Amino acid sequence: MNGLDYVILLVTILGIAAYGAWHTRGRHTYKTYLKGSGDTPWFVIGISVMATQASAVTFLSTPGQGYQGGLGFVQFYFGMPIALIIIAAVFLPIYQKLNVITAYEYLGQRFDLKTRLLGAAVFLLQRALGAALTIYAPAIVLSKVLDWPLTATIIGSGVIVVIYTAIGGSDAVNATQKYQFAVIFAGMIAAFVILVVNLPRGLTLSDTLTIAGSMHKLQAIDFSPDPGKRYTFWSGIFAATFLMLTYFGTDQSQVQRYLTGSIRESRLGLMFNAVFKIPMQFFILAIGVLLFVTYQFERPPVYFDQVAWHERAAQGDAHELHEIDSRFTAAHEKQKQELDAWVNARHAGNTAAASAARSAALEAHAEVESIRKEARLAVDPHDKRNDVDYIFITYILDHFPHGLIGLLVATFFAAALSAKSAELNALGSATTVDIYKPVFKPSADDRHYLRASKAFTILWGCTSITFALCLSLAENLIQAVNIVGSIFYPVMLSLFVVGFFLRRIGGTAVFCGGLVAQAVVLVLFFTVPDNRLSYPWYNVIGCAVCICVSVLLQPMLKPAPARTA
Amino acid sequence: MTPEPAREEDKTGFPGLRTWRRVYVFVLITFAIWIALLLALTRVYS
Repeated sequence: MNGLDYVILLVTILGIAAYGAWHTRGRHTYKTYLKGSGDTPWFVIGISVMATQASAVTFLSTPGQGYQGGLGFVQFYFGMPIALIIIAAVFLPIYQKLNVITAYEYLGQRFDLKTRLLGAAVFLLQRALGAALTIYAPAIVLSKVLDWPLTATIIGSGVIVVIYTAIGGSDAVNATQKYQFAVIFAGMIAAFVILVVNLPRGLTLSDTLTIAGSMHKLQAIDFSPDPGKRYTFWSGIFAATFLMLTYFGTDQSQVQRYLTGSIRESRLGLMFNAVFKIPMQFFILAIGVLLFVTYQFERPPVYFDQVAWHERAAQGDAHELHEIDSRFTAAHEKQKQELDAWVNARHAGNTAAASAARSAALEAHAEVESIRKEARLAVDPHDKRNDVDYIFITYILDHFPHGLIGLLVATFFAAALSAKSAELNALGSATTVDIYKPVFKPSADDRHYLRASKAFTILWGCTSITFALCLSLAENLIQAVNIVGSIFYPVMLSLFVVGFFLRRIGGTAVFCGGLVAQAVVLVLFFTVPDNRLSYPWYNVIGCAVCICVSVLLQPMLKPAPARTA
Repeated sequence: MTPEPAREEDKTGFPGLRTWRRVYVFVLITFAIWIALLLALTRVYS
């Protein structure tokens, strides 16, 4: 990065943050600070919901996911339209009718204080971890490739977001997310255009798709019934629907976004996401597929995390790594020749030659992939580290003109800040409304709660920065975020599902059901290997366990008192 | 019998999609179209 890149990065990020703080300064009551002014238009709600879910991980890691695994990851979002329709039709009218600030207030009104506290506690625990990941994920990758100090990157980006979120509350989150998303959109469109323009010479769109398809990168839909496969049509439609229901329907970081408007605006904002999220994820994965095809013709690093590669070499494995690198160069060159022969045969209309060249190219590709796996194992013999998060940023730094590099790095930070601000806003709200107010200070005035909300926002900001400084990740970043969610989400969803649909169940039964469900999910996570039961299914199992335990337990308890909603 | 006037919260504000049920059906149709297109991509290039 040069001076121009840094100017673009700093002006974009600091400018939007300063605008958020300035735009919403000093015009708050306790309720508007947490819930916004109540007149947010649907388009802003839609963008805000989308920006909260799409953190930097989405834009940094998903193209790598597309490079490595193809388009299959898009199936994970198949549950989203179904879940958002259920939320718009069932959850939202109840939240609006009860005029709640947090989703967990509903649990208190429907069940009792202990169930409300359980919901809020599970949210705070998993969202605090999520907020740490949100800030750690881009920092670890960008600090490595740009040679920035990791600690300063985490603290710097963390402090910016804490300041404007604490000053402006929910309105500041909405105001900044609009512009942050504009930066993200511009960055990703620019990346797509540059990738298309820089495709290898003579390669048509049809060639690109044929090569990607032959190497299994365009298998967007997989009907396999195997629950050990993470991304299939069935896990997307069933398991991911539960995960999305929980995330959008009960996670305060999302609920708070769409409670800032009227019921009409909130519904339209949700439907905006139901329509556009799948094409957006497809587009980001397609960037990864384009990267994949480009790197079949242009030699990439054998291992994209070059810092880890050189660290390993410095530890005394330089000879072995050099040998792997040399074999990779030869295998990649052979693959390129076979691919050129295939493309030329296709253009000449020679079907027999094209078919033979295709087989040879696929064989050469298998050899290239085998050497890449060797490289991965050489860096980490336990095969826990992954270089896919470094693929997109490597391409950006090697191919983008200065100025656009700054814009793309600003894209990653804008995404991190937009997601993080919504998380901090929600953590501060849930702590004040669901724990501090009912348990510790039930009868203070609004100014006191406003000050408490700001203090808790700052406290959670500092906590998540501290968590982020202690993190160390092996998994692909975006999958790590989703796995953390799947461990804690089943309990949250089941409390709400029982509340909405099983009116005879009382607080004690659902509370016990929730605890049992959480224990079952934790046991599954630690004992059943991921290739036998993939994480999206935890949501279905946890929810089913909670409902069954609640239904079985309720007859043994006193009848639940009649409550509203 | 005169139909009851729609409550404010029941209005979608869209000329072609006046009820929320229609909006949800529209979203599901769009979803089905995305799946059909992705399936076609998978089948054509696998």
